[in-house]
Amino acid sequence: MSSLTPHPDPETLLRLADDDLSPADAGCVRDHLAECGACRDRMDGLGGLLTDVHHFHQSVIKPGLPDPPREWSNPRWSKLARPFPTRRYLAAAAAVLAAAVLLRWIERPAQVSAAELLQRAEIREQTAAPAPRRIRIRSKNRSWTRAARLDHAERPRNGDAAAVARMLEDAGYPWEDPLTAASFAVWRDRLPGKHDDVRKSDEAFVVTTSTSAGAIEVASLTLRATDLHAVSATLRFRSDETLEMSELPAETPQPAPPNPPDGAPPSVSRTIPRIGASEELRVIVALHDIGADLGDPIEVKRNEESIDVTVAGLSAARREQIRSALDGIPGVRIAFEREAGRHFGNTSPPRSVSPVTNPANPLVPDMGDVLIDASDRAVEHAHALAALARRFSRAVEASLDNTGRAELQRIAADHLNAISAAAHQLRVALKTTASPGVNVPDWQEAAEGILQAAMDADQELNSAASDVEGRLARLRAAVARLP
Amino acid sequence: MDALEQQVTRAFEDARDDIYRYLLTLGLAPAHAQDAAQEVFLRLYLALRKGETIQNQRAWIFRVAHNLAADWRAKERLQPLDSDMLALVRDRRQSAEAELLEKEKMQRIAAAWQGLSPQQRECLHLRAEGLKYREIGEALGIGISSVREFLVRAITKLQKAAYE
Repeated sequence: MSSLTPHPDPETLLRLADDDLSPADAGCVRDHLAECGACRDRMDGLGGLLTDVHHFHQSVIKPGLPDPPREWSNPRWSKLARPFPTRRYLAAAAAVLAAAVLLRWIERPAQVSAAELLQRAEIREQTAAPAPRRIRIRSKNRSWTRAARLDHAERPRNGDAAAVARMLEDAGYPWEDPLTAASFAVWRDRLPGKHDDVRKSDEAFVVTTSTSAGAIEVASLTLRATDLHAVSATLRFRSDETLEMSELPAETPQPAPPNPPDGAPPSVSRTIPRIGASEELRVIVALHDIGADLGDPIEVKRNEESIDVTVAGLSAARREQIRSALDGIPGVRIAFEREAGRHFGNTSPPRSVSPVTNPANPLVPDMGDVLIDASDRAVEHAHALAALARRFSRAVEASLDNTGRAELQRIAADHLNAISAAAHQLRVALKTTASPGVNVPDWQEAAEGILQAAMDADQELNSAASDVEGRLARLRAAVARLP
Repeated sequence: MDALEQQVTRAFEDARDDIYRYLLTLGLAPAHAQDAAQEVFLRLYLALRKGETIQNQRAWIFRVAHNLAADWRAKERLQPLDSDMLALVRDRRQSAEAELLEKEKMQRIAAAWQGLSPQQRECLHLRAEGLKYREIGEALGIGISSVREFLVRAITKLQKAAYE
């Protein structure tokens, strides 16, 4: 380890690689790298990764995107930018022309192709959280419901359902999960000749494909406009049979029974909450990944039916970012309030202006801003870690699946690493000893203690008391309790 | 063709493909992306003709492209499809170019890329297009500290995926 400067954190190394550090800071980090083999190795590893990522972007992502549908032409920008003539007869002519263009525009075929739309919908189906759903199938004479997706072993063996499965199979249309873009695309892709039509309304896209090949003459699929989810389909067979499939509304859970009277045996509730810790974790992960769990005025509250996210204040761009991050998570309801005039339990309290930034402060006169920044970061992340621990206790964590537990550990590790990095800066400045650290599996138990230590350190840094020696001692003691 | 027209045409020829592909990653369909790419350079022409000073033209056109895509997505009520586009990339790569790109590391990066947040991916896209952190922040309408945070988290995730 270098005896001069602390080990640079990952952000510092990345900023060095990207030429984002000031010359002075870059010089310090380079000096450190010259002395510290471990950090040189980290820097080499980062350089290799950045090269790989660049290669991935240039040779995988960009070439993999579709080419422009038309040849590029070099427009005359001055012509495109020219306003309409103002003379009256030219204005009238322009109005007629504009009306004609508008008419053409209204009547134009849909911009999006059926193949493209189905492909997007299919990918959304693949990436959506699995949720059981039921569909209604209506033929000429019968109507019945079934699970939207059946395994091969569940193939109907007799009755109308079996006949329909056979019809679909004969037509090359998957019977296992028929009301999906994927199944529609499987059938459509196999057709040697076809004609597509895509209609868009405010609510939905309707893809209709007609063909002269195969048992199905015309098929149409309705995709919800907001998320391209398949909600209904109609298949018209050459045999004059028509199948209509539609998604049934999701079943709502029964209200919880009242508490049994004292002494009565508890009844077994049939209520299955639709929104659980997994969905709540998805919200927290989404907020974490946009840095919105570090003091933004956001409150997340899980109910049985929904996860209510209340956001107060913030810029329009930030609100949109939050909305976008939470989009698609089941049960999320977002409310944006204009001002941050309420208390939000998960966020760190407002910070006071530090007297350490005042050069007259005698506590750590040379390191004021650095220390305050480090302390701020430690407190922010400690608040976030403690809030996470309160929300996801060990018992709640145990109820998550493996992916959920890994995500939770990742977030906790992010916070712990940030706190450790900040604490390291504080220790170097204060010439105090290193902490034994915190094992990630124990983070729930350690979170409140870490928060208290971070707040104690922050308080000493921000104190206006003149007892410098006492403050330094208390500050060192608090920093020593940080991971 | 006057000097301004030539200047914008040169910029158009240099960057239109980059802008077009950036717009694709933001979820625009190819036809829309191509129209929007042209619109970006028309706006550049208009801004320069009005005498606006543009310090960094490349950052400026990416910012305009980002805003156009955001407007379009809001109008169409569709969600960003960045992950979808990348899933398409993955699928194509596995089928058509599998032999060429079967390096295990690339696959792991591709898988980890899917797990990045849209903001992290956008920051990486713009970084790969040569924008500095401040310019990325201006393009996305976020602070430079957020850009750093997004990038370091993205890189950390990719690093774990690629090497661990």
